[in-house]
Amino acid sequence: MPTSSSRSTRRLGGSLAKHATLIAVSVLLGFPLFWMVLTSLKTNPQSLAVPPLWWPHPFVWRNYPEMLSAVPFWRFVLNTLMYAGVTIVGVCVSSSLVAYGFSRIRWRGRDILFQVMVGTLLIPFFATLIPLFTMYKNFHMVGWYLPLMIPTFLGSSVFSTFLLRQFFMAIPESLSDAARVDGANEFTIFSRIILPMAKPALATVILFQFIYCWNDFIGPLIYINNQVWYPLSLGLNLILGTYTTNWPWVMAAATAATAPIIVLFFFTQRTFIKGISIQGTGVKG
Amino acid sequence: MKDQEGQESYAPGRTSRRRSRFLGWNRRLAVALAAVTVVGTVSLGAAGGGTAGAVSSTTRAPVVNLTWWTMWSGTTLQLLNTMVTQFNKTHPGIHVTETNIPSSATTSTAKLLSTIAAGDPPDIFTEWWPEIGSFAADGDIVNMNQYLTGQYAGFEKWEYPVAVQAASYKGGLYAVPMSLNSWALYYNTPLLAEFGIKSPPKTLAQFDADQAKMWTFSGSRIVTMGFYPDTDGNGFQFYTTFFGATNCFNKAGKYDFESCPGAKAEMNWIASFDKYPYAQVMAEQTALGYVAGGQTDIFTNGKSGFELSGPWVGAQNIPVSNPDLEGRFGVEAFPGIVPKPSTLGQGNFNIIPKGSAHPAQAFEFISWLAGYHNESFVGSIDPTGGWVPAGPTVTKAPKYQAWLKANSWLSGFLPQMTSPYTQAPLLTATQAQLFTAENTATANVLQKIMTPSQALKYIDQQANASS
Amino acid sequence: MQVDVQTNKSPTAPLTVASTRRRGSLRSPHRRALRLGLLFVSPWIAGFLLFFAYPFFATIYYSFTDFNGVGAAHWIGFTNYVNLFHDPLFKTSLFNTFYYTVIELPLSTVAALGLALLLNMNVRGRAVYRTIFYIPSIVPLVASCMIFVWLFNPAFGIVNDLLIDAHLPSPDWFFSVALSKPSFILLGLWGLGQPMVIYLAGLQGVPRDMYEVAALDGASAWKRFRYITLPMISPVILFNVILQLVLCISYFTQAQVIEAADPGGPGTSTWFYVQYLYEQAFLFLKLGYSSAMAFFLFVISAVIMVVLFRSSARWVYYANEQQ
Repeated sequence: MPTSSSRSTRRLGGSLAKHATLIAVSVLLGFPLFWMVLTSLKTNPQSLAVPPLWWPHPFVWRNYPEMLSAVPFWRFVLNTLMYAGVTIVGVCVSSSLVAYGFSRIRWRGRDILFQVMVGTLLIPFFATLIPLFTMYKNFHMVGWYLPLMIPTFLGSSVFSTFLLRQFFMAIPESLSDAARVDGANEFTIFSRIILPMAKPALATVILFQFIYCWNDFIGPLIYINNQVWYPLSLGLNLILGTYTTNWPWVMAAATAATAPIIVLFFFTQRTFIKGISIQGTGVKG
Repeated sequence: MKDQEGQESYAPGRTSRRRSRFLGWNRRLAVALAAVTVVGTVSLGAAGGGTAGAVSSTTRAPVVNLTWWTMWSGTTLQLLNTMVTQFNKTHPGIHVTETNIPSSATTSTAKLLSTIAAGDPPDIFTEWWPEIGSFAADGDIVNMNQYLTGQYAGFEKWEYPVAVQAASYKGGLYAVPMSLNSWALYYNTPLLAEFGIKSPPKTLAQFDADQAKMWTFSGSRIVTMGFYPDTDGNGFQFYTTFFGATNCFNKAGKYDFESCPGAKAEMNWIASFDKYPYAQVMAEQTALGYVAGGQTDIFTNGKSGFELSGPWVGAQNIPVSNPDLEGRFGVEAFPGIVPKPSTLGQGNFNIIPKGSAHPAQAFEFISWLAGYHNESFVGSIDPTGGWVPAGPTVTKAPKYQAWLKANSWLSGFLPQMTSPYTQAPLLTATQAQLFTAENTATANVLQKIMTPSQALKYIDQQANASS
Repeated sequence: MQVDVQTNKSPTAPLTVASTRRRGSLRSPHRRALRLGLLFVSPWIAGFLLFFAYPFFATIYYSFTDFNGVGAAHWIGFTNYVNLFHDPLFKTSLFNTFYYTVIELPLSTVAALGLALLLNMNVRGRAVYRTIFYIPSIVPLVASCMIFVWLFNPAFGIVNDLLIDAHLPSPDWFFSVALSKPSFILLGLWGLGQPMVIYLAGLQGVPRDMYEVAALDGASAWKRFRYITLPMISPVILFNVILQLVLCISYFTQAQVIEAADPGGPGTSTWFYVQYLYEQAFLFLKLGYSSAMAFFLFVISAVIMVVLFRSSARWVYYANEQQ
């Protein structure tokens, strides 16, 4: 019979093992970023030193204010926030509706149409670029974010729709049935029952859409013509010199672009990782 | 867990009364949804459309607005902004707006081509030269011959001959240089001295012998090196004038590098470097900035005895990345098998895309940028960029002359521009394929994946493919 | 009352819904359901018709022409497709992409799930670990490529430094013909934050008491994983696998950024399909040919996707009993 002290020793040992593994993987995954931040604080020659230099001597903190003032950094951030904000609304509204239709109602041809939707991901962007661009031009949408924003209100984010559909499918049909029996119409079921239960999934979608917009390069590159409206991803490119590369600045720019998301993720990750708590017959999440 | 009863809930008959209510609700909500979407979209469109073209333009009367897209950034961009400001000041009827198009992963051509296809391109675009042939052949860019009248009648004569050569397709002028490049051999004086090389080589044989002395390793890592034919876009094509291999065509007008003696000599010379570790050299080049499009490289870092490059290395790269090297390097004509000096004729060119709203004014702008009737201004800007201008009279401008005098190492670059051995590759519809194939061939030969003759055959095959 | 998922709802048993009242074809409840379903899905249908259909069919049309981007497109029938099959670079790039997909897809699935399992453990400070594990996938792509290449640089990099110190072979990673693709695979494994988070969300949705019951019944950790965890998260497994598939077959940006100096990598070992497509379209201005490449890729990957979806009926378990 294990004694209480040996049981707690085992628990302590188990906990140590867990932490050790986590720390080991953290080092592997986190090391390149650690390097990125360190490099951002070096001088240019130091960043190119062989053998590689670990610690900057001294810490060149002014890389950050210098880099940030070389380009209209905050303007770019604002543009990106606007881009992200609008598309998040569009995605939440349209993708949840479409996902509901593909999961909570059984109708003929549903699954085939769903696979068609997922299939639209399979054609490479550059292949359809010319006709796509010409089409947007004929709709008078080119020059600003319109080709990137409007489609999100029409279910263009297959990623979000697919993800929400998978989560919606995990909710027991009995909940919907009970509501239908009570006389609720489909939209009420959608908005009052399913959607609240999928809050974590929605939060996940919002986070991913935000990050997608934050880093989206190709889309804005093709459709936006006015430098004033560039998002951060394009604006940072202005820092990369044509003939000389200021590595510390590049890394500082990357750090500055990543830091807000790290903070955002850290404080919100509980919300969406919590998963779906399935109410009803005593199931806890 | 789960409700085990699984009731069927669509029992017909029970729903007849409720159905009309359901549909009423659903229909109302559907309409509301559609309305919200439409209203939202329209208002977004209005907002976006309103601001889409909003560029500050504080001019009054009918002014021609030109848009100029370039891929320049960093300090070069600041130079360009200076030029644009000056132009707008001195040309009240035209207003140029310059936009930087980030070209990470070289996607700027995709953007340009889309706008040309859609009929709404920028008025001027700074293009990378191998595309000019393809663009011209496909009718994507404007033939500028129609503008070479009046005060521009002498434009082509004003330019360096090679600038015209590099931009002509079937008798039409399709591009004007923003800056030309002149390629010569840099050498690191103290490093050469370390290996007992007192003066830079004057013959190819001497060069080969000298550079071979300078390779030292620490384990598998390169400590110092002599020379390596760059494969980062500076491959086979860039040495062709030194070997007489720039334009090798057969009687039928097809590319024929395979039978060209100069090309064979050149490819064999390149192959002689396959005894050096390709991966290590490429690794050094990449780490030092080629990935980001920069050109801080092994020579600038002081580790290489020789390098083939242009004036920007001495004018920008070295002062910014490695000031220690200032004053300790020299430049001389590359010792090829063809009489010296010579350089490949290429550079960065401005083109006018087809569909540009104001091509005549666009030409006015790009010829001004090149320095035509604008020598003293451009002559004051070029030194900062380390650029060779499009025409010789610009080099006579006082600031440019002062720059030349202050940097003796520059004396190697200019005479090459007017040398009879300086050539530009003939523009053809498959110029992009040719250039790509030449680079691939160089890389393959250096990695021993192809023999020199296989490489030449490959180049011919790719460049002669139907377009 | 607990229901044992393992016995009643085995993921391998075909799911049927008892129906005593559905007879005949499209009776009014079905028409109603069809109407409702289409209504909900209508935003996507509108977007599809407006923004996707024309470019998609235009691309297919162009694949049968000699379109150069601007100007007229002349019909040339199957010429592009015939030329494709005689094009060595087409075959190489197809092979490279296929190689990458076949290795990266299972590896990344296992790795992302493994990471998620680690992060699902009940330890203090998990928020910190989760953030650290997630960060690599949100660093701007260009920066993360550069950092990675730098670290693995045979001339400069830390990794080779450490290998040399440990007297292990120090390969040329991205610059060697043999190891270039595996280097890209490593890069892909590093940035698995997104699927990892989704697996984590799925894991958190598995009811705890299921594990407790199974443990009480004497099931081992592996049995619990195999018969509870996997089926319960199978919907997100399907999701992540399909998305990874899409990412793998369209692999472009990372290769383009890393090989700016030497497109295709050493030899042609890292010439990926979409890179070649891009070169044909926007460097050589052969848009008919590139459209043929695109359509070919589409057909192959659509087949793979349909097979995946079909097979999912057997291994994906949706708690609401619908497929």
